[in-house]
Amino acid sequence: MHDRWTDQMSEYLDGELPPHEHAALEAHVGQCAECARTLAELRSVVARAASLGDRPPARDLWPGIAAMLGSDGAVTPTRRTPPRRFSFSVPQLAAAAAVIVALTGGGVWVLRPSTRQELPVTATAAPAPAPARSATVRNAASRPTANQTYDAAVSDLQDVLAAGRGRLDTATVRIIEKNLMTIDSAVSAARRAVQADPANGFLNEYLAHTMRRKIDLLRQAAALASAQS
Amino acid sequence: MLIATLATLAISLAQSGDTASMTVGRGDRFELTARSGEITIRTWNRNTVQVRSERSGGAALARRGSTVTIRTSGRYDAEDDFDVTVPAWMDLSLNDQSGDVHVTGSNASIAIQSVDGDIDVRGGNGVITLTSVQGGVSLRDAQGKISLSSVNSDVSGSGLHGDVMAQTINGEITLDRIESDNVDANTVNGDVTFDGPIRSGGRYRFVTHNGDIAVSVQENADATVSVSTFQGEFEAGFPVSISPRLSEHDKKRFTFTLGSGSARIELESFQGTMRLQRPLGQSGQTRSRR
Repeated sequence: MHDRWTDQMSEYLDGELPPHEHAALEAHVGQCAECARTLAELRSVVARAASLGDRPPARDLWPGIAAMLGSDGAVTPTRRTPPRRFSFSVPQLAAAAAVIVALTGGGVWVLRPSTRQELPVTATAAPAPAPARSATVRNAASRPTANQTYDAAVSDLQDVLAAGRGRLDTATVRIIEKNLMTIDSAVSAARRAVQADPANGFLNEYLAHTMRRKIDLLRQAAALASAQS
Repeated sequence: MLIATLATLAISLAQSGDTASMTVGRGDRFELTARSGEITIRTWNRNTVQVRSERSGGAALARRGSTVTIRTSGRYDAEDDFDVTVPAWMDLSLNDQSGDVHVTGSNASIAIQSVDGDIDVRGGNGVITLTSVQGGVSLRDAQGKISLSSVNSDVSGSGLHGDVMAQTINGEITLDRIESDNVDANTVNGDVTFDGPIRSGGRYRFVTHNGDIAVSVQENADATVSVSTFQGEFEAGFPVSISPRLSEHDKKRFTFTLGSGSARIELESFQGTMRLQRPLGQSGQTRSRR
């Protein structure tokens, strides 16, 4: 991954890059297929997050949040809601992008639309003006993590594969399972490494990459099973 | 349904014994789906498709629009091998669920999928996509937008020009005599080897989890090299000036520049050795970093 550029993508999407860096990134993205793909994925992440909507919470969460932040009351939440801004670290973006790709990139999901997991949004019981910061914190808390969404995607694809495995010959099933185990082993190793060094950008990206490989293989296997029907 | 459609639209064939032929024109493409047996495609400079099959009763060709295919008048037998000769310009789409696929001499786009057979292609020009689950994938002397993919076997490319993407899970990736400014090779359990000129402005990415990476870099290469690992090591067969990122968290991730640094080489191995080396005939010192 091109660190120089991916490091700037969050600011780019927020329209906060200086003009010359904005132009340089756009020029690079025009020539670099991977960065263009990454940017498109991240744009999807932001769009998906934005589509959750700014519903006010059921109750005013700010006092509790302020307490958790250690606020002594000096911080006064504004009533004016600024445009939503979604800033992510590169590892978060990488993981989120992997999941977004997994969820939006393949046809397997259309096989089981009824099982697709919707991102939960906090229900609104009583409309009330919401402090801007509370909305951001609420969404972050209520949204599934990248790992949860990945696990759900894997689970659904495995269900599809399980349903269709009878249509695949035993050797193919054995090979797929063997390779899923190979990837699982790599995912486990990467997860352990990330747990030991959570701020390591490479490990986070590597974990996302490896998770994406598993979803790609599951999708390929599910497509094979479907093709046999 | 497909069989009925093909039968309805079938165009008469010059057929004798187990050989059938059909005259074709530019823009036509050849498509074949087989359940088992080998598919062998050869080329010639005649605008004719000819098929030989071991099927009892011979083989038949059919046309559906611009697509020429083999007409199936009954079910495929267990070991139906197909030997087809097509014009070199003819695009190919081949699907073999259980058998090897061989193509030689093509100068057109090629798409091949096999579940448990090997794919071996020599030639090709355009979009070339070769995919096997259990079998190995090999492509030689081709150009275009190239994608080589296996799940459980090796992937190799030699004498390729254009964008090259190669991937497998349990297998090695060997890319030799590659003329490209866009290469992406990744495996989970296997080595990755690349040999070819590093072009200015090009992008080269090599990833493995349990394996080593060996990349040839010519003396006058202009490249920024990124090395990322968790428990692996890096070696260079020639002097390089490494400026590591010294943060505690990123000791295993560093970059350095060769020449103007215009190309980008990314090496990622979770726990293997990554090595830059001179192409055959060039040599230098070894410096390693762990």
